[in-house]
Amino acid sequence: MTSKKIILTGSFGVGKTSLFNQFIFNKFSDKYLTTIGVKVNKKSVFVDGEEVNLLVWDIAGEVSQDKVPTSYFLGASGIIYVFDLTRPLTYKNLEKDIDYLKQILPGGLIKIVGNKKDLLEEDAIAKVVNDVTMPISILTSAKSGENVEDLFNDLAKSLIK
Amino acid sequence: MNAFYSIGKKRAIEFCQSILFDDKGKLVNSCDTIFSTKQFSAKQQKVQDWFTFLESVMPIITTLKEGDPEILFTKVQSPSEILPGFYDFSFTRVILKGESFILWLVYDYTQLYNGFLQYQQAKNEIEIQRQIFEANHKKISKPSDVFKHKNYFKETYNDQLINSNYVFVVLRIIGMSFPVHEIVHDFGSYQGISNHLEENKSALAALEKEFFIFLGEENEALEINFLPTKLLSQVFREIKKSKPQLNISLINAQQIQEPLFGKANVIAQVLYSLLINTMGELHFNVPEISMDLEYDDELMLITTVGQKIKNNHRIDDYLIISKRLHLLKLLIKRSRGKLVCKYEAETEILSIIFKIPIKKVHS
Repeated sequence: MTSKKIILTGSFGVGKTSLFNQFIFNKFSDKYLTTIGVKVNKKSVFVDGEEVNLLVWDIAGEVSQDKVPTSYFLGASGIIYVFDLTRPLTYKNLEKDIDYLKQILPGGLIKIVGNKKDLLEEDAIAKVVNDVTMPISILTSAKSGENVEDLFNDLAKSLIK
Repeated sequence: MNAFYSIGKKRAIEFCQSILFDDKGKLVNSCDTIFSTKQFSAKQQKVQDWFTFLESVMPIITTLKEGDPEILFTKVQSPSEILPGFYDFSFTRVILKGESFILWLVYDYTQLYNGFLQYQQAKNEIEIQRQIFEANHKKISKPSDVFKHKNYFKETYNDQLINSNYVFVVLRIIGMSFPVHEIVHDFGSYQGISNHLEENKSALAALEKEFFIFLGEENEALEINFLPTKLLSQVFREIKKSKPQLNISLINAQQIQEPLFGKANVIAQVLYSLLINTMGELHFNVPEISMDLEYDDELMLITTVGQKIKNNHRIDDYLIISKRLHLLKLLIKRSRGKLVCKYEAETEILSIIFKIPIKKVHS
């Protein structure tokens, strides 16, 4: 079985842990609980009949990615960069952060995810998508679970290609 | 070296476990001071099968070579049922009697990081609320205007309680090489700078913002921050309106005569925002500012801000920072606290240590 280490990163309060809990445990809580370090768990997904073991690192949110300990990224295959669709400051530094992550993990796959889509109407979401300066991979709702499985499945698929 | 490192070192000795295993993950030895490895060795389980964190780092740590620096993973949270707290994990390649092994050191920092978690939780909650507030009120264009909004304090006020008698705050400014030497050269010592500023009232008057404190019953500090002077009375009215049940008063830090008590997390945020504000206003980057909070004998929190140092600082930049620190000094002095500055030329670390009395609050 293939194993892939995935990092969930982004600013604080964007819903990284909620995505993690929704994907790993199918659970969601409205209560915000900050993460100050790293939590690791795993879940297997199937890609074209092949089992892929995703080792997911849920790390503390930082306003700027250069604050994240670089050791966390060692051996990672992919990064999920999460921002909060309701808080512009969480995608303000997107380009700079992605450039930095590309340096830290050359050749690594990076998915840009707008979370908390359940909190906005369609037109507001469209405006955010327009404001974001880089292509967004997927919009999710950790609360409803919308697109969460798809996010990780697509990532696994891209990683074993 | 400083409070954090000395206490950290002490803790490391008290709460460290060393585990030795080979490249295939076979356990060779463990001192079992934090958790027992017997359950794993009895089942002949490889280290990478103990829990997911180890499974995920095994491909990396086995690439370590002799003499390579350790790979350190800090603040690993609840990696397993047998390790339910917070830990730092360090991995190093070691050669013993001609054989090559991985040395894994486990540091149990549960108590330390739990304190940090509480602080970070409160800080993040406030910041998230502020960001959402700003995002929903597009007409507010200037950061200071957010305070004018009638719902600001209602939506952002946070009064989490932390039990404590005293808080010790250590600010370490690392990497201030030439400017600190220049300052010391000009004024003789850091104390000299403070004295200079105390004598120079116009330097304080030049501050555009006012340091203010909202006091509750028994001189308990409810809110401490910088605000533009002209907004003070307006903000005060708003907070009184939004929190009518609180007996609050507005005073200037320089008017404090009686001992001041504050909640530990409030004080911590004051110091944090004090430096952030200063850096932000000056567009000035300090390489690293760390804050360590201790409660009585225990280290409470660590946080780091700042970026790489630039080479074009003027000495005035540092003096403006020291004005802020000077205000803090006044506050601390009138709180019957203490402030000590230490600078180590060798390590280029400036430590500013605050000891602030904190009211013990029972939640």
